[in-house]
Amino acid sequence: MRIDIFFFSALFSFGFLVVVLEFVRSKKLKEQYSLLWLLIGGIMIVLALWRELLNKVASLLGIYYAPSLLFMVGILFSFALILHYSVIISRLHTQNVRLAQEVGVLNKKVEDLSNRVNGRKSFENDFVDPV
Amino acid sequence: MGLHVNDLTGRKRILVIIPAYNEERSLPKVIAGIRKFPGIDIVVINDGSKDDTSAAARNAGVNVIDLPFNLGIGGAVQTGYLFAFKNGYDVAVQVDADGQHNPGDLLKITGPVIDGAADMVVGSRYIESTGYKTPLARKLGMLIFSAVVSFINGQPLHDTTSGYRAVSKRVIQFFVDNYPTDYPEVEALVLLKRNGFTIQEVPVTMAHRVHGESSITPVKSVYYMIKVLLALFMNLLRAAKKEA
Repeated sequence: MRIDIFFFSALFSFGFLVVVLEFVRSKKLKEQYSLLWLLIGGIMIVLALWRELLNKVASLLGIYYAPSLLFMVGILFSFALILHYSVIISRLHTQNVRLAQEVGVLNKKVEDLSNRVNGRKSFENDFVDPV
Repeated sequence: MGLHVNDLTGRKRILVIIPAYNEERSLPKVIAGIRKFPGIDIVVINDGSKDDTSAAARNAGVNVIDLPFNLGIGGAVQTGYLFAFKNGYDVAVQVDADGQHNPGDLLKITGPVIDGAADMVVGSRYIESTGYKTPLARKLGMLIFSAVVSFINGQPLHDTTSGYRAVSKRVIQFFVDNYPTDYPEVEALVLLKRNGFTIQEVPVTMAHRVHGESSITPVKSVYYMIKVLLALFMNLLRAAKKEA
């Protein structure tokens, strides 16, 4: 085997897969978020080692320098993954807001109940709310 | 005022929601103004203020909810609706903490909601000449929002950014799960209309803020325009919520 860009691509992809699997094993990365990484790691290894396939796909796409297909796959995947994270961040943001709101309302309720138990009047319109 | 409170509120339980971020100076006066109407409860949502907003509100003797960190106006107001919903209020009114909303207009705004004439009433400063002078750039932005929202809703709405509004019990429940987090006022109008709620506008007088600074700086206003217009457009592409 020649020591060239294909070799380094394969080597890097392999190391990458090992790191991802190790993160999942040590629970630093959740299984559902590791699947995309494993998929791209696998695809990169196959394309790097199976040169005929890479050359064939590259020429089909009109790419003259075959290794640039590796770059393209990597970049496209990165975009997809970043978008995926934006969606996850948006969901976490919504959940975070609701948690803060619930904490605020619960704190208020705890305060009122504690005032009532201790015989202090908490605020002006002290209607009896169901506990 | 010679009227008994129950004649004014129609025996409905009314909650005034005051979202406040660093408004310790103007807040006591706003609360005192609303206090002139007995039987109306007040909750101040302290949106992670860095000053003594929470203490100012507590000293005034009203309900205070301290958020653990700053959520922005939408998240703060929604906290008020969550509180209103959990405590079974019939009508909720949003009032800004900066003192630009005149408490004297409170009954004007709650009236149609109490009577069941509208699900939401917006206090508008543009329907009649009510003595509010608006900066030109801001005026242009407001005109665009007004034109777009009026077109989408099929109903003329003049002051779409007004934060002085009253809503019915059904809307309170709807807002618990559906309220925009960022610059929510304009979007809420389209959201409500698309989900079958009725909106009415009543003229009110507004003052310039006495203390502090407006949350909308010139830099933010461009983002504001784009974000709100995108949100309005996205609302058009969405189906109405099932729970409404």
